[in-house]
Amino acid sequence: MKELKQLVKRHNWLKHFSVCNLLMFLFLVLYNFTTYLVPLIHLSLPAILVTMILADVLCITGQVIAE
Amino acid sequence: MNREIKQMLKFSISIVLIELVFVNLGGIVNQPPAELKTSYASWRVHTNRLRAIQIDQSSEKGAYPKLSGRHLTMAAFPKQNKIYILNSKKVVYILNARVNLAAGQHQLLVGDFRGPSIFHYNTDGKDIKSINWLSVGQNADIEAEPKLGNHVDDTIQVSKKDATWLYNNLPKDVQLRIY
Repeated sequence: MKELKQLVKRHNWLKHFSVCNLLMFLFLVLYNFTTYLVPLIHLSLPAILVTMILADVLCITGQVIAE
Repeated sequence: MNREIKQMLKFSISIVLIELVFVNLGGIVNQPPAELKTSYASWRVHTNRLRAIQIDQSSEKGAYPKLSGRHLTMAAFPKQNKIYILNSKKVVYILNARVNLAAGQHQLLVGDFRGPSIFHYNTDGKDIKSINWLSVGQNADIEAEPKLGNHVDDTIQVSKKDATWLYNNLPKDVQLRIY
């Protein structure tokens, strides 16, 4: 918990959310476009958002464990 | 980009990729109806293009496919509100449709007769105008649904755009199997 608090204080969240999430969103949108041509499962917008939030949460957890 | 952001980005994208693999593994469970006997690939692509039921929009996103010069058959699943247009083992198009026909498995011919407008009477005696109809068997038809939830017996109700497309493009005497 202590490490998490320290990380929250130290980490540049604005940079993280602007770079990582935007790129991830673009990547998922690109994936969704390909599903109109290749037989992969299409993701809805809520599914994209949940995927991104999950990736963020796991990413932060991983960061805390690594520290 | 500093090292921390780079690490996070790599980590996030690998999580997304792992998730996409797992989501697509779900395709093993989620298969097309067994009666269709179509390829999974064509069914998946057209299922992805399918919209929710709307009376003013086409059922699938994107341009309508060409129907001429193909040996077409149709399969209706009343419980799913779907009609599949098939060309041998491939799905050509999926229609969102309300099938208001007698229950039970049977086979009918579609598109023998067609017209730009048709009138029905509801229980209050008011007339309901539908556009672009095609005959289904002897006494039923495919037509545009005038308003959402406007149920008419012995019809297959589709969106206005789909009805216009079928009216202009569906060849004569296409076999429709109702499950």
